Amino acid sequence: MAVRISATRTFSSTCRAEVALSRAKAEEAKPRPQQPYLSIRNLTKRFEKFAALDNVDLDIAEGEFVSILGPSGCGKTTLLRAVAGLDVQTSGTVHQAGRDISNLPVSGRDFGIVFQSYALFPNLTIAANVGYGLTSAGYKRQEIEKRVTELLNLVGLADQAKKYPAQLSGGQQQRVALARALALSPGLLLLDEPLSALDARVRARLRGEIRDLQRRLGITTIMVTHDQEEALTMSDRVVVMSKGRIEQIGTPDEIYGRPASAFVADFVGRMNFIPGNLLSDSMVEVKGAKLDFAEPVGLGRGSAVTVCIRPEDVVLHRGNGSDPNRLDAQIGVMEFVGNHFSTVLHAENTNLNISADFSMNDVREFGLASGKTVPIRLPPDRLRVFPNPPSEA
Amino acid sequence: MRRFSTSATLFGLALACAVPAAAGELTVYTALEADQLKAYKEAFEAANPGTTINWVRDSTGIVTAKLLAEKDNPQADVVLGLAATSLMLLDKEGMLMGYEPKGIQALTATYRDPANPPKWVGMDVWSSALCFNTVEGGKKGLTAPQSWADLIKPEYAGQITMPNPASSGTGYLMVSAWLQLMGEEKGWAYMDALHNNIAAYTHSGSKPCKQAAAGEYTMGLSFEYRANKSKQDGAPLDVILPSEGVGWDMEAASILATTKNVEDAKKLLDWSVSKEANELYAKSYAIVAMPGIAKPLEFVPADIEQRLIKNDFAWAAANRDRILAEWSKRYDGKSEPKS
Amino acid sequence: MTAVAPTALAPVRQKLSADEVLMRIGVVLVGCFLLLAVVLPIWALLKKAFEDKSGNFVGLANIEQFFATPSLATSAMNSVFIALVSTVLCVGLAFVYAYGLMRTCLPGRGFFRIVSQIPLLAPSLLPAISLVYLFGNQGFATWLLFGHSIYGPIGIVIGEVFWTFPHALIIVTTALAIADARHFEAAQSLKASEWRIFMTVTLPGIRYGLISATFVVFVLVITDFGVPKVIGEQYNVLATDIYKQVIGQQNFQMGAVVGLVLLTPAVIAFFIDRIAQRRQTALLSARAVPLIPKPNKTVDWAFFAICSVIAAMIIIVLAVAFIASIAKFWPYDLTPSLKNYNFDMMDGGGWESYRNSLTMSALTAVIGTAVIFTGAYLLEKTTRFSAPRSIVRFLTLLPLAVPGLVLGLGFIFFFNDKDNPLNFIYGTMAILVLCTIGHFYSVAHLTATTALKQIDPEFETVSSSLKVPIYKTFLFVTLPVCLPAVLEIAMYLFVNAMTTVSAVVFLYSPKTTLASIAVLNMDDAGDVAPAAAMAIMIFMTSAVVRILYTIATGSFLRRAQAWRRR
Ligand SMILES: Nc1ncnc2c1ncn2[C@@H]1O[C@H](COP(=O)(O)OP(=O)(O)O)[C@@H](O)[C@H]1O
Ligand SMILES: [Mg+2]
Repeated sequence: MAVRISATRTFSSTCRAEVALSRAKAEEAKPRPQQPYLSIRNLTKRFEKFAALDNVDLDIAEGEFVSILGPSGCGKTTLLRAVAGLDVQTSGTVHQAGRDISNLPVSGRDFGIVFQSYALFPNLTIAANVGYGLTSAGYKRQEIEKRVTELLNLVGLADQAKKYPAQLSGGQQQRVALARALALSPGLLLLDEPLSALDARVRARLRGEIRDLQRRLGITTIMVTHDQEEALTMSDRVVVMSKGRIEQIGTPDEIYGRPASAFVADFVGRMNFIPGNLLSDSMVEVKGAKLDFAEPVGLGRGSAVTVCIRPEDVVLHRGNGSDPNRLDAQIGVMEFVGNHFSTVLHAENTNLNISADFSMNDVREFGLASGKTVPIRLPPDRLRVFPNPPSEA
Repeated sequence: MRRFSTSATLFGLALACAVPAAAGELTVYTALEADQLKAYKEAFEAANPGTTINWVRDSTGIVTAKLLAEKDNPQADVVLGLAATSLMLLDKEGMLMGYEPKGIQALTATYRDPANPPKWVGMDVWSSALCFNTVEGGKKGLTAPQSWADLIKPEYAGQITMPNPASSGTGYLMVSAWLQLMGEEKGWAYMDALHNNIAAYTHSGSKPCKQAAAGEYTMGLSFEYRANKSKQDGAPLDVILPSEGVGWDMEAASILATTKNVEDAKKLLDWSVSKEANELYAKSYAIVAMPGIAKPLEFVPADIEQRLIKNDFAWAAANRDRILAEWSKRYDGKSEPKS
Repeated sequence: MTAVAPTALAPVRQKLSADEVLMRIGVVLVGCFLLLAVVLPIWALLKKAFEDKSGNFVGLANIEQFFATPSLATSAMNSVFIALVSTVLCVGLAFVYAYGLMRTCLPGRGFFRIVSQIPLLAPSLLPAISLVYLFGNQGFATWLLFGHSIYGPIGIVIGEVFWTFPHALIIVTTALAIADARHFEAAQSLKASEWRIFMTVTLPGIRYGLISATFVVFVLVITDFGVPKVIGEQYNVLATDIYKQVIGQQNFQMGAVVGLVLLTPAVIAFFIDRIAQRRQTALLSARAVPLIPKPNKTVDWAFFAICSVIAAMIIIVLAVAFIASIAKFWPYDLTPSLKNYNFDMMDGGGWESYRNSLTMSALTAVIGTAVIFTGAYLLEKTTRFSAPRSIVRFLTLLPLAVPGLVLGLGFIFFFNDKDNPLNFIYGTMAILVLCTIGHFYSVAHLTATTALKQIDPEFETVSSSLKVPIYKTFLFVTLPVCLPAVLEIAMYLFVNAMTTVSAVVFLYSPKTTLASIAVLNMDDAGDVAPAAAMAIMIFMTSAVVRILYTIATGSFLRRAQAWRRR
């Protein structure tokens, strides 16, 4: 447990020291960089016959912020609770910092947790809430007070120490819960939909704050969320789940730009889904249009596939070369959505309809208007081709 | 933790409450009236420092049934103030210990068990009496009955209460007296007729007189102590001893053969035949076991001892079960309230 | 990774933490407590019903004998008749009263609510005694009966309706409270007549509440012993028969059979009530809009009049008992006097029995609350261990299906057995406390569970992730947060322990006579006015405790306002 910042050290109150510490922490871990901090293998959780988690494998590096993203009921919370030991998995293993924690009880594991409801003790002051674990761990009163002050400073609530949870706003309560979870300097921070009870503006602000704090402390963090924006903006890596399985693990960029499955493509961001047939390894026929695509799918000719492209990846064709995937398209109704226009394009001589987004500049420059026909291009490296799932074929 | 301490408290409590009756404590079953118990207890405990009485009081029938039911695991040390007929039943079951209390020679010879040593010793005699509420009687234009025969007159329909003989010793001594006075057949016929006039059979022997005293019913068949007391308390009552003669029983005392506290039990029996005790009995009863002590009760005819029927205790005890079964069959549960 | 794979597929058994071990032990202990306080006594009773006097199994012989005994069969018929009539009247009145409270804007709602709770504070003997004074042969309203006697069915029914009224009222009020205003608005917008709305919206909305109330009242009445004992006279019912069989004739086998007969409707009612309650809660969708009654002069005053009459009757019954208790010699000398409060000169144990009742109620409240609340906590919060937990959870509800009289009888059979190592608690205060806690366990348990369900389910998780032992969180967080419920349970147990007759009537001993039993015994001996006096003492004590509870809860809420704002 050399890696863990031991509970006996005093917490630095300055940001600089925090950074230094997290760096120190990272260095200590260096001798075995190949070993992940948290390692989940073959994790399966059944409720009766129903598999809420189905053979999940996941590695998380030290200091990493990983989001578990997926629709409601896909098993995110179940995964988190298995890691915490709250609902232990049916089978599979979890290793934390090289230690097998698969069958340890909650109290034998090393994590701090923040729930959607915060679960603050309503009858205790903010200070008592934050110091709850410390009191029990047998610290001296002065030490506890010092540490609580540090923690409250850390989350910017030093002046609220004497108040009760119900007297704070939702966002403040959330930060108290965070401070409490960090009190014993756990090696792992678990967040279950930590922001979903807050309104949009507070949520946006807290995203940044939590991410900031996590970076400063360098604490390995898993956050469960169903909000893609949250996952994409806060995380080092995002794990997309569906029906108890992991669909994709990747950086936010990869998840957004190169979704590994139709499910991920659909769940993250907006996406055109167009049924088609493979003509070759690099060409697909969709509704009468023939399109090139960059990444081979390894399916036979004639296979039914789904072709995906994000609306913002549809571009206006400049120049007049016969580039691949060039189409003439008629503009449908144009909808102004804040900072860009959204429209549906009908590709001439085909049955192909595609949603597309155009910037204000494009609209002005090309004089886009409803009913007008313009040349467009679907960049082959932006087209994603997925095999049709057998049931939908 | 909390759970442990809770159950520990509970068991601690159970233990604390359950210390077996300490030496010097007597569990005494009794059918005496509640207002007598206090005086008896005080007098006995004053005379025998260090020994205390714990009363278990109920109606005669219930105390008897309880004693019989507990035969295998008796709780009582002494029975004090239970009908002699009941004690004879217990004796038949072998539950009583023979003991000759010091000073028993001073008692009237018939007021004790003839066996030697006696299984029970008499305390006083109580007899049936009729309480008639003159105010209510006047309102309804009823004259007071003077004999058992009067009671079955139709005008008294719904005006009379009497104790249930199954639960009340007073009730049983009346039934037993009627059967002895009239013979079985006529006795039951009489009770059939009386049943038509009865408004309610009560659980206890005092209640009929107390109800008459309160005017709830015009008259109640009860016993002379209660009648006297109610009248003393200011109730507009006539106390009547029916002319054919009144039934009676003896209140008696006895030691349970199974008692673990023989010494103290003997002390209580010794006290029960003492002059002091008899003087206390005499406050309630017109006839007590020690001759020359009794004084006439204020409102009870002074010649009461002459009005007692000739009572065959042995018969009354031996036939108790049969009579009560027959009585219950005839009058219990089938009767709707009459009024 | 390949090295891990084979073991990875093996099912994982989580190690137990110290907390979990402790909690499991706790669950088992609570189970043992209920086993002792409910299950084994009932088992002893069932066994007894199939045995002869010397303990040999005789099959159905006792039961055949029961049905062959004409008086017992008559009693059974009488019991059913009384219970049916009382139930119809009681639920009807409770419905009208509850409707007035919940669906109209009648003035004085708070007052009507308080009055309706009065019967809960007195033993069921009190209304019966009052009825004697009101309608007995010397009563001042006897003429109202047109020559009928209050002694017998009429008196029993009136007395039963009086003391079961608040029980029915609470259930019906709850049912009326969860109506969805939108249904009414929809019906009104369809121009349905008031009557049509009542028949198609109001009644169906509370049907399960009515079913529940009906069964609860039916069972309360058929197993009540106090009212028929005082005012039934020759009109025998099963509840008094069981007493006569057991106390009067010491015929335990037949007592057990009657107990079995009384247990049957209670068990049936228990299951129907469970189902009804589940359906009732299901009716309440999360988005229901609470119905706020609109003023309507005619309706409001009509209900004010009806509720006033009912409330007046409750107050009169109480007042009559009080007046009778301070009259010197009813009905001949009505000068006020405390003579009837001189309990030491009466049957029943005197003032000692009142003190015993206070002790017993206090012990029941303290021990009962500790056991029940802790038990509910353990059942809610223990992780996994699901089979034992569901067994114990079932046991916590079992007392609802066991009438007090039957439980008390079971206690005799179980604890008065020489071979029972717990035989020593027979005749002590401990057995009274144990029996009373067992008797009233379920309602208190449900109160605790409801309160526990309302607090955040993750307190324990948070505290174990912070390495804080669970009992600390229980003591420093859960308990303080649930204090109102804890006080409510304590108050409930205290008041019920003060007023209960049915279970303890078999269990008191000369050293542990109780006030409620003294009422019974004094009435039995014909000392009706002192019985009324003792009943009034019980009522006043319960009322004081209830007022203290209200004050305590109020001050708690004020003090805790800071953190209780949700
Ligand atoms: N205790 C349980 N018993 C049965 N099914 C459960 C239980 N907990 C969760 N589930 C099911 O497992 C699935 C995953 O649940 P969960 O992990 O809570 O989803 P989410 O991704 O929304 O957090 C859901 O279908 C849920 O219904
Ligand atoms: Mg979830």
